[in-house]
Amino acid sequence: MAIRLANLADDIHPLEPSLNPRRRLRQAGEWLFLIPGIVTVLAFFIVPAGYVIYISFFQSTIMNPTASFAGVGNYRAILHSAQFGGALVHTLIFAGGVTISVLVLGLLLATLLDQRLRAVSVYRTVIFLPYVFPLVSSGVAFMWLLQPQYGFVDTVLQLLGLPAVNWLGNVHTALLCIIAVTTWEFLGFYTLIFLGGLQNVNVHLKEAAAVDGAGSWTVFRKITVPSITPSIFFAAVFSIIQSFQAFDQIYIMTQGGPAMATQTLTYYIYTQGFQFFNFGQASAASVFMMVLLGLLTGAQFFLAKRWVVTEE
Amino acid sequence: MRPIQRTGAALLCLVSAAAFGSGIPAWAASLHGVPAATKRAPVTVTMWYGLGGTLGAEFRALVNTFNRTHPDIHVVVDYEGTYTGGGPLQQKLLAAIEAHSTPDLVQLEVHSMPVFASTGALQPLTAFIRHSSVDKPGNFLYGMLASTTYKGVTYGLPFNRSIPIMFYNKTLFAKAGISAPPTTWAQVAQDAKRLTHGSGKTKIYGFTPVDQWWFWEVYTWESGSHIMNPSLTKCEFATPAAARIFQETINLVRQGDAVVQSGADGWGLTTASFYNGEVAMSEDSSASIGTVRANVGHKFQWGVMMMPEGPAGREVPPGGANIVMMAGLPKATQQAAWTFMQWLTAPSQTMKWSEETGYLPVQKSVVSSPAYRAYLKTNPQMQVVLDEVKYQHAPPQSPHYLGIYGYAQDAMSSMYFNNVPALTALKTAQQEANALLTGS
Repeated sequence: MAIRLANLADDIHPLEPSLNPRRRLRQAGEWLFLIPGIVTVLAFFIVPAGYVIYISFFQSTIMNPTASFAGVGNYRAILHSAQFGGALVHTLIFAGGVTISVLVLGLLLATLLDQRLRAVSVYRTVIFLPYVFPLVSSGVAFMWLLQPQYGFVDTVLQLLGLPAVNWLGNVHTALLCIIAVTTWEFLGFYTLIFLGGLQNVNVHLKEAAAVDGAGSWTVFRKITVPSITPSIFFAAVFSIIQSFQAFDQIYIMTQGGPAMATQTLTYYIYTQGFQFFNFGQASAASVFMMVLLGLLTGAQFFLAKRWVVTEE
Repeated sequence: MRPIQRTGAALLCLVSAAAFGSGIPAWAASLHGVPAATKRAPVTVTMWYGLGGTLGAEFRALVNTFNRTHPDIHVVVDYEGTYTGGGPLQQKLLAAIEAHSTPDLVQLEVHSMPVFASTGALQPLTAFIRHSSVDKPGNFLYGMLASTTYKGVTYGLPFNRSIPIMFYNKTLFAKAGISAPPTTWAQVAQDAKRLTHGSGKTKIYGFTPVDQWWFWEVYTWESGSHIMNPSLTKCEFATPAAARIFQETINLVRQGDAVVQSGADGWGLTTASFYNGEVAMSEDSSASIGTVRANVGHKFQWGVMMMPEGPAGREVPPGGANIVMMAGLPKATQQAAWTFMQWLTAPSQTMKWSEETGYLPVQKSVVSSPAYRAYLKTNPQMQVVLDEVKYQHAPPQSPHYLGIYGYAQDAMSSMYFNNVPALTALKTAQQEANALLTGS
């Protein structure tokens, strides 16, 4: 009891002079180890993010982001902007498309890889391999595969007597192609997460269900999926955040076109900030995106309570 | 120089001196404004350029010639990605200006001149030009000085300059019984209908516009409209007259008499569709003449025609880039940089550059020289370009122009690929551009 009370006192008055000198030294040591992390987060995240919020209230010129105070002018401008509205819709379609694809296909592949197949490590390597390639090089490769004159895809289509499609130049197919390439790139990563989850599923539970007469589909639905809901939750949160940040593949393959069909929020921010040198509006869009992502992630955590099965 | 830079320069000099034992290397002297210790060390001039592929190779060959013939100066050129407005080179330049660590010379896209000149980061060249026998304003071809000045002060010399033109397939024209290329947009529409034939994979289209804001400038001015008001506080390009020219082209596309190439390489595909004989007329740049010549070969007869006239006549924007000097260079570097600029724009170099790349020879004396006359005899397409230079119209000198034409680009793409009516698309772009100008 005496020890517990002393600990409580430490917690309430950690800097009291009566504190044990050794304990104070240890605390100082803890702070010392935290300093590099704190400084890095402050210097590269908190301070720049704060500055972005600050300049979002100013009209900028190329060399002076805070040229004149504009109040909420930049926010008003983006909310009235058809381009920004389009970028928001494209981002939601992109995030939804990629997340659904990687969740469904990732789970399917992980289930297959979890079987006792021959040469399973080869399949695992092949599926994970795209994740190792930089998105820029994958983007360039797919850009050439989908090129309308000499591209492999259209050449095959024409050999089959089908019309060639300018995949990345068509407003109806460009975003789908970007979603497909992004899914191809990241599928291995999500498959690995699900595979980890699957390998931790309690085998006894599965066996008990089987003994009770449950078929493999029922076992998958009632035992396996609930057991890996933490992995599914992690994958969903991570994929949505990753999709909102997507840039490389769009920059390489379509540059936001055709007719802004692949312009997402990140690309809109890049265009405003680094092509139009309109930092105020780019900052307002960044703040909007940060709030939106925060809300989405918060909503996911809130909803997770209803469907994610935890150990307790 | 800021204290940290001064310290950096001093450290650099100390390290260099210790390492080489013979004073400060010329590049360190040039970069940090410290006089070179030995008289014989050449002055180093750094330049950022944005020409890739064969054009980049041609440019580097010119620089090598200069370095060989000028032992007192050493020009070091760095490719920084494409020089287009708001492109990689300009993004890096902006960061370099902020960091007070710029190169000495930069290849700057013509429409971006006011954007960077307004920052005070460019060196006024008026005093240099006054004492130059090579780069006197009267020596340049008409229109070449468009976009070299900002608020009456000269900041750049024309280097790789081009203008919009149209290619036409003479063989297809002859087959359709059309004796001369069209000179107005109305004639383009008529001829496009006559030239279109075939179907499916073998269909030949009469006309191909390019989904590129450069041609938005042409359509706007030729309709009698202005891009901005005279005080540059407001955009005024969304007019029914400008929309009419766009709508005529869009109608041709809808009727199947014209085709627009889309995608990030839409322009490249347009040029390719012309030299592959898939279209009879196509919008393009005079800088593509070399590419078209090399790829058409003997497949068909082709020619260059001036951009057609609109209700207000013929008006074309400048294209390509100027060379600019960055402000705040040490005297010796400034002089060396100016020597290089003069050399690059002097008649013999500009003629060689023009013949090898298809860019315009920027000096008047080149055009009248016997050597260039002989070149024109074998390359008659270039004569049309030279005839068109007098129709150059300087774009608005707004520091926000990159954003303005960015929105116009989006409007064009929406018209061509999203079926948005021309006037609606232009009005949306104008509204966004005005929000950019007013900050709300």
